[in-house]
Amino acid sequence: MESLQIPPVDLRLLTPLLIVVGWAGALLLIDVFFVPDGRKKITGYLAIAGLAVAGLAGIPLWNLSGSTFSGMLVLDRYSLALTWIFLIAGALSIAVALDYLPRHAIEQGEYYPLIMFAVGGMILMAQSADLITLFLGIELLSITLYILTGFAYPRVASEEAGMKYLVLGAFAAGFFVYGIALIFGATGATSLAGIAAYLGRQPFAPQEETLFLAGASLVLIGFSFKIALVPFHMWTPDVYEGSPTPVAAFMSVGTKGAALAALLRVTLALEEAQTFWLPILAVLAAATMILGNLGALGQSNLKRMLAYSSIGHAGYILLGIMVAAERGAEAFLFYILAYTLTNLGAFGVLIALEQRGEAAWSIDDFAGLYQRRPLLAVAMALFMFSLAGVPPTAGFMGKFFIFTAAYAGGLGWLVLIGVLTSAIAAYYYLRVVVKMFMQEPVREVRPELTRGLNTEILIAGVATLILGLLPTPIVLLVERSLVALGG
Amino acid sequence: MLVLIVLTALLMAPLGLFARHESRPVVGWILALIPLALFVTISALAPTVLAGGRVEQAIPWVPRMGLELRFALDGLSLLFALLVSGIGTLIVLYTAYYLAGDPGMGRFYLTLFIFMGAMLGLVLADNVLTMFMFWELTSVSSYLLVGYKHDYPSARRGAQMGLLITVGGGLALLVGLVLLGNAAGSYTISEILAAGEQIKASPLYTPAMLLIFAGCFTKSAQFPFHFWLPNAMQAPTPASAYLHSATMVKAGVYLLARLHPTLSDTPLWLYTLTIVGMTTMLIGAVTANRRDDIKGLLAYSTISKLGTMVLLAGMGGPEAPAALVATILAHALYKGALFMLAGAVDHEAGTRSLSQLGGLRRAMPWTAALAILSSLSMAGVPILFGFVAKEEQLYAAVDNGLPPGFDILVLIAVVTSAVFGVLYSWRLVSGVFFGPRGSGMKEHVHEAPAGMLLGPALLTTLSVVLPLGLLPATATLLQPAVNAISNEGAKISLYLLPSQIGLPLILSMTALLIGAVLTRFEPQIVAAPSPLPPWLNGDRIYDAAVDGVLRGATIFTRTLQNGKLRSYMTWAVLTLVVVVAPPLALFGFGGLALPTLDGVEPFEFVSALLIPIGIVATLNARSRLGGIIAASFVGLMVAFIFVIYSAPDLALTQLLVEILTTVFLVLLFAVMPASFERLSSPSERSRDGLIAVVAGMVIAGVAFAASSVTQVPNISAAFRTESQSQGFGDNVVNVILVDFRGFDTLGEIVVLFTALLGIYAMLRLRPVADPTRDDEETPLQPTLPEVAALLGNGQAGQPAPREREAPVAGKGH
Repeated sequence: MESLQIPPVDLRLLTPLLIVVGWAGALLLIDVFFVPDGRKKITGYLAIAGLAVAGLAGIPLWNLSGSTFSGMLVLDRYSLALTWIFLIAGALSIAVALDYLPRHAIEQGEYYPLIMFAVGGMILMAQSADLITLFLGIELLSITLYILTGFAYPRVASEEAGMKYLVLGAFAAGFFVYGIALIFGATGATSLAGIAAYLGRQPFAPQEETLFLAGASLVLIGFSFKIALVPFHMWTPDVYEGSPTPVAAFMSVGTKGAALAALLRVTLALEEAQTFWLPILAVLAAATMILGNLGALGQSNLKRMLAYSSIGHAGYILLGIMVAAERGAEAFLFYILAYTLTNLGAFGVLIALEQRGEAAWSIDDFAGLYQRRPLLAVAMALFMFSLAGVPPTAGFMGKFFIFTAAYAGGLGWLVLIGVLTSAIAAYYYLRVVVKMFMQEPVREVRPELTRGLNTEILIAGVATLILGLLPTPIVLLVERSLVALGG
Repeated sequence: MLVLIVLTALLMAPLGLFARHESRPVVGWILALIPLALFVTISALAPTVLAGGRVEQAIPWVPRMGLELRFALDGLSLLFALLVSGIGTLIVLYTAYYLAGDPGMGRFYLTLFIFMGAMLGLVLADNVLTMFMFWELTSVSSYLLVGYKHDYPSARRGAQMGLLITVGGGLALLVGLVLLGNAAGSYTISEILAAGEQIKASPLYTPAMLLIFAGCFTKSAQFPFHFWLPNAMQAPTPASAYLHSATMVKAGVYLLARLHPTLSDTPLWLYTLTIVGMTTMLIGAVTANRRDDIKGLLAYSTISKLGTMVLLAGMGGPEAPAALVATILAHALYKGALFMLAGAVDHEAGTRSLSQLGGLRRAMPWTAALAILSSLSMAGVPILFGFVAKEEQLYAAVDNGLPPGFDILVLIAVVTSAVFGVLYSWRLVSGVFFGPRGSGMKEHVHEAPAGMLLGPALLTTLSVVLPLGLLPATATLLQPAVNAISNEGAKISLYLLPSQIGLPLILSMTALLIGAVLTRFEPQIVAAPSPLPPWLNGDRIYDAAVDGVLRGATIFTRTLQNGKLRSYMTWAVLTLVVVVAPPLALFGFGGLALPTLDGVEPFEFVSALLIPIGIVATLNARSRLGGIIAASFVGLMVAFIFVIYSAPDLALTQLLVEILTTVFLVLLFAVMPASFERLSSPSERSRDGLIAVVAGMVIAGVAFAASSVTQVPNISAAFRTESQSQGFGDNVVNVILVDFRGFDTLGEIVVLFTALLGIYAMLRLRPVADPTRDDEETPLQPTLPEVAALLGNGQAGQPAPREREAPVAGKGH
């Protein structure tokens, strides 16, 4: 052993990540020592400012690309675009929580740095080019979320959610690490490039193949838990229902998005193992689309319905990942953006209707919303239309891109399932619209709209419309962001 | 200009909100200026089209995905655009009177204008995807219009049914259009039509066409999807008159006509459309005679006419395109008028039931006169435009170019539907305006306000005046539309009386005659059993399908999503087995060197045997303490194995961890019940046991596989040689911890310290139950047994059982 070689480190490539994590750490202390109780909103604003700074710091990196930490972390436009999406998701999740937490008497300043840590984990996942760093990102995100899920501490439902998520999440983490170990045993590498290079040297010994396939399967199971793919989705409705609504909103777009983004990179790296990898993904996607949407159909609790709907959407997104090498990656990025904004908007409306002590999540609570809060009802209708994929909304464009890319990639039968399940989905989304516009109020629900919530719903609504009406600039941006991601 | 036309209607829509219930009809007159302006603008473009030209406009939208806002105006779209804007003007006026005093009037206008814009976009679009967007927008806006009277469950059901069926069909259409675009290599309609031969040769032709047909049939209420249209009659009458007779339901026919020129001459096209169209035509005509509700009667007669149009679009022959165009125009004129008049009757008399109406000709003379004229046109009585159109239909049916045998069948079907058409026209007129005064009407029935009659009067006048000397002019106006549909340069020549008496005229007169005779047997025909078997009732099938899907979804959710953590884990473990076992079985065992028992010492064997015994003991322990002891026994045996294999440091670690865990467990269990609760039945336990054993074997198999692969060179030798020279230590483990991997150790210490801080924070921040507060907002403190029960059972031990699964949502909302 010669002298220790410290690998060259280029921290520039990690600017947004470092800002987010560093500011989150600092904010924990600032919150404890400088922010008085009862005015914890200040911490929230500071957190949003931190996320904004991180986003701005990413702009000069647009023309930069490279890898650091011995190739364990990369910066490319793909990761940068995702970083921005995650920062937006984090900021919006904080914005809706500003008034939610005090209203539900669970205001703790830690909420905001925790969200930032989670965003940091997501960015780490997007930048990972190595299974180990990927695992680090997943855990940074997951552990934060275990805490956030149980954040409404005295509420038993919240604790139950946290517990369930923790136990199943630990399970998933175990699978994932075991899978990494087996892959390393087979290929001698944990980096995606190393694995891809090994796979390029086919054929290899049957034992190695066994080991690799078993390892890859385990890694995929780990992913499936995080993305909530059927049959690893079962925690989702319970956890979403139990956790504080802003956390559920964040999870529905955040965990999912980051894990899917990482899965896309892994899928590209496993190009040579396609014959094994893609059929499994296909079965998962089909099961997820069908069972996710069927599950949503029977729900009269809107929070659970959105949980199932998020499962179904993961199935659609999986189609984009399967054809990532062709046009799928573009479609994927667009869909993630569209879905993130739309879903955060829908959860925002849910939060507006939620009052302390009682949760207005029943679909009946939406009855006659149009009479009482016409604009809120219109916004919710917009989100529902977008989730259902009705033009001219972001959701339609996303579905259209995904389905055309998948069709061109030869996934005709999956597209068929996608279209059919979209028809099922239209039923339960539009049922909400019927309730809001065509029925009289069943019971008195007084939506409380505050500044943070208004802003969030407005941003989400406008973005949903713009992405649906004038998607070209975003499509171009998405297209450019994938130049380096050749696979 | 075309973009402007579409956008005007959409952007002006909010102006509709100015109409309030207290506002006077003059608001309607002002609002009618919007569609009128559109009508005039489109008319101004007509000369170009009449001269054989085309007006085009394209705006790139998402060029990379082939999305483009491309509009084009040719003969066919000109006809539809004029109908949409022209009848739209009359409807806007009519609404001002019909909905006078209704608080939701502004909302109605808003949606109506959105619909109008969508419909104009649909017929003007020259890109299939643009067209699809507007297609869906018409579905959504029509849904809002149908569900306008949302206090009535039937209105909500009708709206939802129409939406589900047309949006579902719309999705099929989208896939079909994308396939079509792929086959043609372009999404532009004109380019698709130019690539007709290439598409017909493509394997995508059949699936694409079937999907497009599904979209068209759902939209245009063709059998077996026709049942949504009568249910949509819950819409306010202006919407029915506009959407369900003149415009939206013709969208399917429009698309078929649009694709007709180059995609039609295949058996698939021919037989699908003629058979479906013919069936719909007959079912509609027969069922219209069994309806008591005048709007229901009109709805079924519309279904019948839509069937006729699909039939005409399907069958070949030189006359079919001309007949199709004439039928579209004639139907829009008389049916639009009749719907508005039916609304006037409903408005004034307070009922739409034929059995409750009667003798209104005295109270509503103008309405009666207009309705009689339009009904005569609907029946196809000479010198009205309906007659002219029917002549064209019969001409096309006589010369239909279908295979022998089938051609006669089609001809008979067309004549039969004409006979029934006479009958339902007569029922409408005689039932509402003649006979004794109806029983269920308001006390004092007045003539409808003039503004309400203006629209019907104009349309009826056209039905009457067009055949009187304006036929050549009409033919000139319709010729471009025929050109757009026809693939072989068909000519339209409308005539009131043919130069010689041919088969069509004879058939037409025969139909009138038989129809007139049948009026004598009206009661028997109304009471006759339905031509369809009872199970083929679309309403019932729809309800059953919606219920079935909902119930299935609920059962599925109950089973899989039972809220129990252990069940979720079971599924996860099962899937693990299913995913990991196949590669193991496929590739693994062939090349695996299974370990042999050579050289295994007796005490190794014993300790290996003791571990499973400990596991069994743990699983069967009755008390918690026993379980803990048995579990720690397993850990101790593992430590013992480490000792045997001369890894004292590992053994020590294992021992310490084991002791620490046991202490924690005992401390924790001190506050829990001493004995276990049996939460599962013996059969469940044996099932879970089986799953556990299989999963264990799979993981063990993976471990074997791993041990037989040496991909990476062993690094222990390097550490052994380097630790003395580089790290100046004899204990390799120590050197690794503090030297080679010193930074890692530092990191671990930091993590431990952070965790400690976290635990401290949690303990400090834990809210203390405040005895001074006893209002209901005191947070519920879960007790440890509750938490424990939660872990075991998910639901048990919660203060109040929460709803896990939603009940099956009732239909109709």
